[in-house]
Amino acid sequence: MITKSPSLVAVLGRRFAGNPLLQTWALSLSSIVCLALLALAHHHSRLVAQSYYYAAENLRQSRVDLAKGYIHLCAFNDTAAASPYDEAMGLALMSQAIRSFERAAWWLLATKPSGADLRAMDRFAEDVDSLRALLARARERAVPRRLMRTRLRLSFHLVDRQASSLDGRIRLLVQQRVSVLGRRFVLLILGLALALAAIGALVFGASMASVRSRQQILRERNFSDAIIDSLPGPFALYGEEGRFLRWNRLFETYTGRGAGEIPSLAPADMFRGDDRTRITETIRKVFETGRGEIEAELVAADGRTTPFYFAARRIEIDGRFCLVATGFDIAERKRTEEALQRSEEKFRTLFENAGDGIFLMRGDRFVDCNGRVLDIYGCASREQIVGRGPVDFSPSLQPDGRESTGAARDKINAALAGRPQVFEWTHTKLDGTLFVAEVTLNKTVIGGEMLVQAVVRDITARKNADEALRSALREKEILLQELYHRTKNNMQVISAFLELQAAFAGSDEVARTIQDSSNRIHTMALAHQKLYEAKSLSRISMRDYLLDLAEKLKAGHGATGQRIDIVSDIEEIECLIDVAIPCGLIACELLTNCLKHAFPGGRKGRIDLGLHRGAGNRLELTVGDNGVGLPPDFDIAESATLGVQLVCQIAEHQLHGTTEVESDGGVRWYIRFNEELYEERV
Amino acid sequence: MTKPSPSVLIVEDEAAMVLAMKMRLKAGGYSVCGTASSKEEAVAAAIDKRPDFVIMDIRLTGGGDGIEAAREIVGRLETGIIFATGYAESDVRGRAMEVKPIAYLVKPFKIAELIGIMNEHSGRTRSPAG
Repeated sequence: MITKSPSLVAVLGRRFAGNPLLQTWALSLSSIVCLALLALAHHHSRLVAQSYYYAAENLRQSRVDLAKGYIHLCAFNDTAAASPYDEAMGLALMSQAIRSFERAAWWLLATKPSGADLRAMDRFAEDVDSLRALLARARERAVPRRLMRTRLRLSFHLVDRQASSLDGRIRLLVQQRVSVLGRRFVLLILGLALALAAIGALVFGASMASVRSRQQILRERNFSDAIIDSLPGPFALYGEEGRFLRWNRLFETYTGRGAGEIPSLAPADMFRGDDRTRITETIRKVFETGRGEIEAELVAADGRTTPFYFAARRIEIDGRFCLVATGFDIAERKRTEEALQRSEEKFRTLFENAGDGIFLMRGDRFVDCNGRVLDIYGCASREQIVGRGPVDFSPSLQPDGRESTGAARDKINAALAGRPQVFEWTHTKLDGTLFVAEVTLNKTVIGGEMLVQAVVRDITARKNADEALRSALREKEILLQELYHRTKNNMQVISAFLELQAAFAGSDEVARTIQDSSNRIHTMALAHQKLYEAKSLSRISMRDYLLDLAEKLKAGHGATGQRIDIVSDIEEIECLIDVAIPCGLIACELLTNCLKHAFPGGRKGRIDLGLHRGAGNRLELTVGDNGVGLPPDFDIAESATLGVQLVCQIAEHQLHGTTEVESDGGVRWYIRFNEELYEERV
Repeated sequence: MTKPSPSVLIVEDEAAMVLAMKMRLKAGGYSVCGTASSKEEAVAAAIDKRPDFVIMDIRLTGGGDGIEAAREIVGRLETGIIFATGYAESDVRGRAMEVKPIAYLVKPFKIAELIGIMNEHSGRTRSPAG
């Protein structure tokens, strides 16, 4: 029976294998049952003997002849007054008892002599004590073997006792069903116990084998768990029947679901919005085609979302299709992408909102441009620009006469060669209107490709403003020129008339006086001329001016002038015209004086002319000669000559300076004044 | 043998200036053979009178200027051109120099200076009277 059902053993083995406690209990229980059965067999065999004695001893007056194997029931004589021994009844009882033995039940009836059954439970204990006393004695005697054997053939009997009054009137009924185990039964029990032990051993063995195989499986499972838990992202095995079969710890972490919850979830439960249908659709596709990928936002139980890239493959396990999915957390990538997008947006905005037109050119073709370009060129859409080139938006010739095509090519090539180009270019709008732009070309490398970045600024307005400014300036220049011209012409006329008057003057004295005045006019005119020739409109070079002046005065004195050397030592100083003219007039007077009076009678001589910057930014004009010197009684304050008075007046009142004169073998004038009397006006 | 007085053509639009020069030149021994105030007059007078000297202002009435007039004159006859002008600018002076004048006087100048230059060029050494 055991060998015929190994599967039962295996099943039991498997069942027990999982539970060591149950194993122990089963083994203990089967052992206990075996022991109990053995004990029962033993006990019952003893009990048979006991029962026998009980039965015999219940019959107080009975006698057992063990040697002959007979039981003699002597009498049911409770009392001395009892009826005499009824042998017939005793025999009847005896035979009945033997039949009872044979029938597996032994009935001994104690009856009244009348035959009526009596029950008297209250006396039972007493009787039992009497029985025990009898029993103690009876034990000394052996139980007949045959009887014993006979009894052992019986299988099972119930032993029951009832006490009845054993007085003369009441008989004791001992009704015992004696349970006796036969040898076969004992063997059967032993067999059963052995079989049970064998089954137990087998089950234990099977369970141990099962435990070993389970441990193997467990090891493999731990191994695969370790592997899938070590994956960098969530992992799940999803069966075609619509259940999650395996997953890793990260899967639980990201979904925020426990192991108990996951098998009851559908993949779409972990997503929301459009992602739900997309996920479902992708899973269907994977089962259909074998593979699929998707980007979706996984929603955890607490509502937290994580963007993922999922890659799934279909695999076959035990003849069933499953889907293996691995997720890659792309939150960081998304953030980078968003940052990139924001940055791109920022630069795109800068590009689009730039005040200048910006192009990208591949060679001489536009590949991209900003919105401002459309305004500048009067285009409606980028398509009107991209794919075309600068020549399409230029007249055939540039203002300098060059052909636009060649000129543009040169500029682009120069920019590509690494020389940034900035130039003005005449363009045509889409409607043909001309405009002038300032163009900047720079080489730029985008994605490994060498491009030209062109910045175009419409400078028509600036050009117009420049032109207006230039024209205004030109007008002013002409006006200024005209003014100078007129001034000079007027001075020329005055000078000419003075000259004329001098020529026709009655006396030399008058002629000389007129000549002096003419010189003064020329001194002033010379300052104006220097000013006009100078770069500045308000300052002139004192060296140029004074040298020129001295030269002209010397030339104006004809033969006298030729005998005299003028030696100059003049610092390079630039003065405002307001200072230069009075200073020039002083020099004119002093030089004239020298030329006229220092060298009488055809004497040769030398005049020193100097201008130096002294302490405190004061200028010092010196005019000296090595002539005859001043008359001994000369006094500046008292001098009546116009020239000296003019010098003092100008030096002290106009230039706020000082005048000093030395006369020691010649005359030497020192005029010291402050250069910074006036503020610069132009 | 006394040479005849060198003849001078005065091209100047300022009447007072013309008068002053006329008088001073006559006194200086020159004969003023004509005056003009425009380019056309100047060229016509020069061709007509063939003067030894032309005192030429640059800014004239009417179209054209003294430099153009001088260029036409020196292209037709031999005469000494003396520019006498208010223009001191180097570009004007440069343009004027192309006709190879004997002098370029910037106003205001002294007529004595002018006479001195003419004397040098006519080989006369005497100083102007007065």
